[in-house]
Amino acid sequence: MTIEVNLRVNGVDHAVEIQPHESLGRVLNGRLGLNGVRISCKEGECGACTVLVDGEAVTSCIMLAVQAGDRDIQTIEGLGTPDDLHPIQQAFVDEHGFQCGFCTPGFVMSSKALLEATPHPDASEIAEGLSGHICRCGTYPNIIRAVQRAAEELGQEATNE
Amino acid sequence: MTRSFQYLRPDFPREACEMKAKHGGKAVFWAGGTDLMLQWRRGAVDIDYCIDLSGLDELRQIRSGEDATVIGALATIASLQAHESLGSDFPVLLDMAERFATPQIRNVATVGGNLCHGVPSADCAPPLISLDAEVRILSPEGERTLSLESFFVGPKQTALADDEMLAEISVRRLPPRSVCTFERMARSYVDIALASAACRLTIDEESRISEARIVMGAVAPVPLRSTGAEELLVGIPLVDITEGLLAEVGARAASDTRPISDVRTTAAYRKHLSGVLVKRAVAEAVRRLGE
Ligand SMILES: Cc1cc2nc3c(=O)[nH]c(=O)nc-3n(C[C@H](O)[C@H](O)[C@H](O)COP(=O)(O)OP(=O)(O)OC[C@H]3O[C@@H](n4cnc5c(N)ncnc54)[C@H](O)[C@@H]3O)c2cc1C
Repeated sequence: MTIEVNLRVNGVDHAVEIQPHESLGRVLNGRLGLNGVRISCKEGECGACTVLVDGEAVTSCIMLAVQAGDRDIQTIEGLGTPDDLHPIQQAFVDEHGFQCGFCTPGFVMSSKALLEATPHPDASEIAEGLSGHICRCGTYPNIIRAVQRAAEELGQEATNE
Repeated sequence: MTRSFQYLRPDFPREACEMKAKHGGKAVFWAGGTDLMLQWRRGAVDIDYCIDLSGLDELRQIRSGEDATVIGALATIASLQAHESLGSDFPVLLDMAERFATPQIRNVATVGGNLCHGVPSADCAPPLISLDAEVRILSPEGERTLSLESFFVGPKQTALADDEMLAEISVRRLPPRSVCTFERMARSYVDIALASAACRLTIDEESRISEARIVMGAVAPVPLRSTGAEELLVGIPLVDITEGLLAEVGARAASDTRPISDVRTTAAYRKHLSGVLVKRAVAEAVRRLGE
């Protein structure tokens, strides 16, 4: 059995034929070529595959793709461009919030959801908000600084507007 | 050929039950899928038909009324945290939600899925049982109501018949002067509980304990209530609750447990831990009632 779903990814609609059991992560990465969606543990534990669905962070490796149909999906590819990074991405660069970079897209997407809900988190709120992510390089202190820096940046932008 | 399953998407709860009745044992209700996806990939469950419940919007609601709050089975753990009055009416459900899995899982995992999976470690169970929660169950023919305590039958076994669906969980407003607490121990943030304990105490106008509930998770085939430990507390004035009595209550609760050893820890540790967690949960409830 195949079913057709409409996946609205970073504002663009994609009609895709999928099998019912396929995960959102697998379809985004394998079918739509969005390789910023990192499929790693496949058990919802490591957070590398995190994307936003209707603004909420989810582990796309264990979510049925069909359940994301007609909803608003955001991946790292929709955030900034290499020439014009999103403030969260820029803050991760500036604070060296990564080493190998494999886990980074997931951390950045969760940071986005976190900062939208809590614009000025303290360090423990950041740790709690990112508790669904693992960085095997162990750059956690830098990641926390990056999110704090991004919060300042975004706060600045908001006051300038 | 890759393994897959058929996909069905009912628009109404009754229709979901009819689909389940029609397709039998290899049809499953799919809520958030955070348990099912892992189970299915591991081959622990056979699925011919996936009945996706995500179209049943009415079961996603949390409604607070005069006498009771009704939590739809499809309400997510995150929606417990986001609700405007649930946290002030039942702070223990917030305490539980904050310690449940990770933010990403909480956005997807449902309260109903947590209870229907039926594992003894399910974090929603001890606090809800200590609040005397009731569950409303639908079938193609009708509906019935059951106490959540009697909903759990064995490991991964609930009182649900093949064609029955959990629709709602309802919690009556607590009597005045009540406090409910939850303690949980796990290796890390993400890991499921090694053991947990919920305690509800209600005191009368003379500050004497008039009602007690003590419920433990992950230490028996089902979430376990210790009426023996509860009885040690009923009738005791708050001021007379000593360290010694707390230790006795913890020991009594621990003696009721029948834990197993598994990859996470040993039975002996779980038994010990359950006593410690019960003691802490009761002590915290006593402390808050004394404020
Ligand atoms: C990384 C990770 C961390 C986790 N951490 C925790 C934790 O800290 N604490 C904890 O308790 N659990 C935890 N879990 C387990 C899981 O997330 C929860 O049990 C969750 O609440 C299940 O809900 P669901 O909607 O995803 O259920 P599903 O997987 O969709 O369903 C679970 C079971 O319930 C049945 N079901 C679902 N809804 C209904 C209904 N309305 N009527 C009848 N049957 C139904 C399904 O058929 C299935 O058998 C974790 C899981 C993961 C992957």
